[in-house]
Formats: sequence, structure tokens, C-alpha cells
Amino acid sequence: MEAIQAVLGAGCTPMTRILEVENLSVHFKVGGLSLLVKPPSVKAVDGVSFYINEGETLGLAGETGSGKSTIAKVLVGLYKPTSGRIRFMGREIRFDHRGDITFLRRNIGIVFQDPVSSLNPRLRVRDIIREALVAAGVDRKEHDEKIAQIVPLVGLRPSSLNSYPRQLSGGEKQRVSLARALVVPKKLLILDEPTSSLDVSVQAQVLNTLRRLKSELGLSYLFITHDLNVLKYMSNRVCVMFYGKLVESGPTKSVINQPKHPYTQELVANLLRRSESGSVVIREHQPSFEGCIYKRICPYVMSECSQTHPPLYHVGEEHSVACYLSKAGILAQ
Amino acid sequence: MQRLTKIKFKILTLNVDSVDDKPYKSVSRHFRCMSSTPTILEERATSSLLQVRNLTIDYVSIDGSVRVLEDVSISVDTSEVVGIVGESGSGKTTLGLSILGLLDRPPAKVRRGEIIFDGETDLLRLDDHKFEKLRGGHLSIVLQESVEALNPVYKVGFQLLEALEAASKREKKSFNRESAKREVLRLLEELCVSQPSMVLDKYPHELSGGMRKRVAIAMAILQKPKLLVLDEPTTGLDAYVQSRLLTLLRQLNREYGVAMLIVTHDLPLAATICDRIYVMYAGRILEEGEAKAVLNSPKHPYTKALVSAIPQGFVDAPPLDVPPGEPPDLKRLPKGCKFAPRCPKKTSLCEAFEPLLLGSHTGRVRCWLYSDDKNT
Repeated sequence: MEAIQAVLGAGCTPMTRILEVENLSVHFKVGGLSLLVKPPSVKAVDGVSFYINEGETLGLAGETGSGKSTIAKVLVGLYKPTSGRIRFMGREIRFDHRGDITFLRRNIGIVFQDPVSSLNPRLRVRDIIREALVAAGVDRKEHDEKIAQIVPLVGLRPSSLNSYPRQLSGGEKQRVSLARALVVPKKLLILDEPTSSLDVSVQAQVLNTLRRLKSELGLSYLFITHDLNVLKYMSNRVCVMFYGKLVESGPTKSVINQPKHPYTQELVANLLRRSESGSVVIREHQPSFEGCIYKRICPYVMSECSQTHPPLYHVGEEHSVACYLSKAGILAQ
Repeated sequence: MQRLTKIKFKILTLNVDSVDDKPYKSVSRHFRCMSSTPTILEERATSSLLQVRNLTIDYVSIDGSVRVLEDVSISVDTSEVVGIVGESGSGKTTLGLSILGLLDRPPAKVRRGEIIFDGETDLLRLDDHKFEKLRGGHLSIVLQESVEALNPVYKVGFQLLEALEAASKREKKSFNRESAKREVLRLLEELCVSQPSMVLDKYPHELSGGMRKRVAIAMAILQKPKLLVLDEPTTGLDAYVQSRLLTLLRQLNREYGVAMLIVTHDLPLAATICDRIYVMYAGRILEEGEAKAVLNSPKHPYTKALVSAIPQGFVDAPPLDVPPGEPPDLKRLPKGCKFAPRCPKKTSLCEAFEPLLLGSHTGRVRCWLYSDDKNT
């Protein structure tokens, strides 16, 4: 424990990178009924690199199947990456090392999309939160005190501690998930579509709470969402993913105001269309497995695009994009 | 027309009874304008495809009955797209299901009201046999849970062709399997299904949620109904499929004149596709108006809250302006205006009496704030 504390103290001076992910790949084997043939694999995440500064929110955008949730699950040790390096709070994470996984889970909290399936229906709210304390090995005498501290912070009524999840509304359930994730102090909180199952007015309340908690508890967020409005409102920097590949990353304002990748441009155009109700041409989304992943859909496709997937080019301060159109920029990697 | 006036009198007497000797000026003014201002209902009565009048529905259980719809009146004109916007528990799905006669009765119990479809048929009093002819014919629905719309033991292709076959039988056209299949494939392609012929050969459980939803939508569209009810058509779909779907629905409306009733919690989405919007809360309609007007200049504090709850700015934007609390528990509704406990502009009047849905043909609102200026 002392060793961990030492690392913690050394690694976390202000504006340091709390999390660094390099070339992360997660491939899943599918099928593979024959012993002789190498089973085909799905590249859920393919060569993705990003980092999160302390006290910062990194937004991860992309549609269903783009590998957003897979990244979240790797970061809490639920999936083992196929390749890639992860440094968390200055410590290199080895995924076959139990101590490292425990270290991840002790410092990274996660809130899942579906509050119904992520809460045990047979436990009262108090016991759901208590499970996190037990898992972290907190002294039993401190349990009640810790729970009493976290409950008002996440905006739950103390009376709901004795309820079962089914007696709570959607917003309250998501607050219980938050309380469970934060009752043991965390450094990084992964929010996997935390508000997509909530009503608009409740979503707004939860977003407000999340922003308040971040400054009060000094947290960093990895915010995963497909809702660009929410992403824009919550994150300092964004990463846009398309079928397992990172296509664009940079400061939110820069990415939203000057999207460089054709896919990001389409996403942003969609966002504008929703608010101004103009029309936009939408193409069928099918990844290409040779050359650039976006080749089959891209309106600007060139001869180079069929060779290899483009590397990330710098197009602005910290803003990089995987597209040959931005080749004039400096190579990022 | 006579019937309408009769209903109006009924409401009038009902409400006047309950406010009997209360000396609120605006209350009486409120009722006076009831008789003078023509409501949208009256004006549209002639061309309406669907009219729901004063629909009041309770859910009855051992614990007592809960009122899920209270005096709801809506109308959908021929080839009009109408949106019902509300949060969970506002009764919007119950309204959609009751139009299709899909409510389980019991527990649902219709206390009052009528649903007039196509000028004459009162859907609430239609027997099952006749209803079955209407459903899937002139009336069609896309359910929120698309799993429920598909038969798990038949392949998707079979079910889609069946829908088309039924449609051509109804129109007494000949049915050609090959051309029907081409039509189905083309429609699925329009809905961004990448390998439509492969999808046709699968069972519903083999498809993802978004794909099932698209199949269910395709099935409803194939029948070319007069009125299509869509319950949360875009949930579970990616942004690009959403926009594609909305474009397709618009096209369907323009080309075939299909009227639509879109039930959703997403106000901006409703505003992009609908002509008119009803905003529902706690089983009541709080506001009605032209779609753009409701989104851009909402009147009711609740509609305002819905609009301001949508995140707009960047990370440095101020916290979102939302009323505290959550949608009310229908078992324990407040006495006056149902939104009063969360309303930033509530007065003692709001807590004592529930306002009526009043206004002109450009829009109506159920709020005491607007009860005065509508008269003058």
C-alpha cells in the first residue's frame, strides 16, 4: 500500500497525464470451430492512442460498434488487450499481473450505461454502495460514515438508502451507480453513456452533478457518448472513433468548429441539422478493411486511401486527424 | 359540431363545480374565454383523420387506480405529422397504444372520451374483429420495443413479405413475390441496412437492436397506412441512421400522404420532423403548437425547461438550467397545476387550481401565466 501511495504522490503533480494509452488493440476471436485454421478475429479496437490529463474530461465519440465501450472495459481490467501499453498514474499496467489490475480498479471507477442491469436487484442501495467499500478493504467501522458522506454529494436522498433499485427512478439509479463508483476515492471515472437512458430534464441534472463532482473531488473523466451535444458540453478534449480506429482527436472546440476528418464533419453536420433542420446527405456506414477504414464512405477518396490506413497528422494545437487530406500537417506519431 | 359543444359544456360544468366559491378573478376570466375562443379542435374538426377527444384512462390495480391520461384531446389531420413529446410517465405511450387498441384492459380502464378515426369509427368501441382489419391496414404502429413487433419463429424476410402481401390484398392488387422482394430490399437499403438480402434470411434474435428496429419500421411502412404511430422511433439508433430514418419518414409523408403520430421524449427531434407538437406531463397536455414555435419560443415553464435542459455550449458553459425534482408520481399528484412543485414561476394560484388548456389556433398552453393575455 505504501508503495502505491509513493507512486501516487510522485506521478500526480498538476497537469500530468493521469492515463496514457499507446497503440491499444483488442481483437476478439469469432467462430474458430476448426483446430487447423486460425480463427478469424474482430478488431474491436485497433491501434488507438490517447491520454487524459489530471482534472480533465476526455470525450470518446463514435457510433455503436466503434469500440468505445471496449476501451472502457479494458481500463477496468474486464478485457485483456491484445497489444498496446497503458500507463496509469505513472505505473505501467501489466494485464497478467493481478496487483496491477487491482491498482486499476482501486483508482478507476466506472458507471455503466444501463442502471437497471448494473445494480443488484436483491440488495438495498446501502448494501450496493457498501459492496464497493468491502471490495476495497475499508474497515467495517468506517462504512456508515463513508456512505453518509457520498450520498448527499451525488444528490441522493438519504431515505433512498433503504430502498431497492426497482423502487428508484432512472436518475436515482444512475446516482446510486455514481455513489458506488466514488465511495472509495477515485482518480479517474469512466462514464459509459451515463445519461442515455434518462429523460432530458433528469439528464441535465445528472450532467450538472457530474460537473460539480469533478471540481469538488478533483476527478478526471473518460466520458463515452454518442450524443455530440452532451460530449461538447462535458469534455475538454475529444477522440472520435470509427470501427475501432481513432480518426480524429483534439480540443473539443477545435474539433467541433473545424472538423477535419470527413466522418467528424458528417457527425457535426448531423448535429447542426438537428438544431437548424437543414438536410444532409447521409451514406451507408460500412468500414473498409483495406486501406483507410473510411474509404468506402468517404466522398473525397483518393488513390492513396486504398494503400494503408492513414497515420495521425497534426492539424492544430493537439488536434490530429487520420486522413490523407490533412497530409500537409506534421506526422503525429 | 353539436357534440363538441356538448363536451365543452361538460368540462365547463365539471371545473366550475370544483372552483365554486373561490374569488379568483382570473379563474372566471379563464372560463369566460373558453366559450369565446375557438379551439384548434373545432377548427380542424372537418379535415381530421384522427381525433382523440377528452380521453381519460385509469390503470386499475389492487393498490387503487392511477390516472394516466386526463382529458386528453388531440387531432391529426390527413397527411399531417404530429409529435407527442413528454418524459417517462407522462402518458404518451399509453396514448399511442390506446389509439391502436393495444392497451390491456384491464388494467387500463377508459373512463371517458372517444377516439374518432377516419371520420366515423370510434376506436374505443370497436370490437376485436373489426379492429384487427384496421390494424396493419389503415392504422399501423412501430412499437418502442421492436422485439415485440417481430415473430421470433419466422425469418425476417417472410414477415416483411407477409406485410406487403396483406397490403396488396387489401388494395386488391396482384401480388408478385419477386417484385415484392425487390421493394423490400430497396426499402431496407434506404434504411441503411448494409446487406439487406442477408438480413432477410435471418431470425429476429440474430439481429442487433438497431437492426430489428429498422425491420419493424420497414414493416410498418410497407403497409402504407393512413396513420402511422411511431413510439420512440429513434431510440437505439445511431445518429446517421436517425437522420436517414427521419428523411425517409418525411418522404413517406410527402409522397404517400401518410399521417404520422410520433411519440418521443426528444423535443428537438420532434421539431425537425413534425408539423405540430403536443407536450405532455403527468397525463395532461401542457402545450400545443406549431413545431418550430414550441421549440424556439416555448410558453409553458415545463416546455421551457425541456428546451433549456438540452446541453448547447462547450465545457466552459454555465450549468444547465433545469427545475429540481423528477417527473411526478402519478399516485401522488399535486392538487393544482401538476408542474407547480417544480415550477420556478409558481404562485399560490398554481398550487390551488389546475389551469385549463387555452389559447388560439396558433397554440394552446395550460398555464396560469397565460390565462390573462389570451382574452384580450
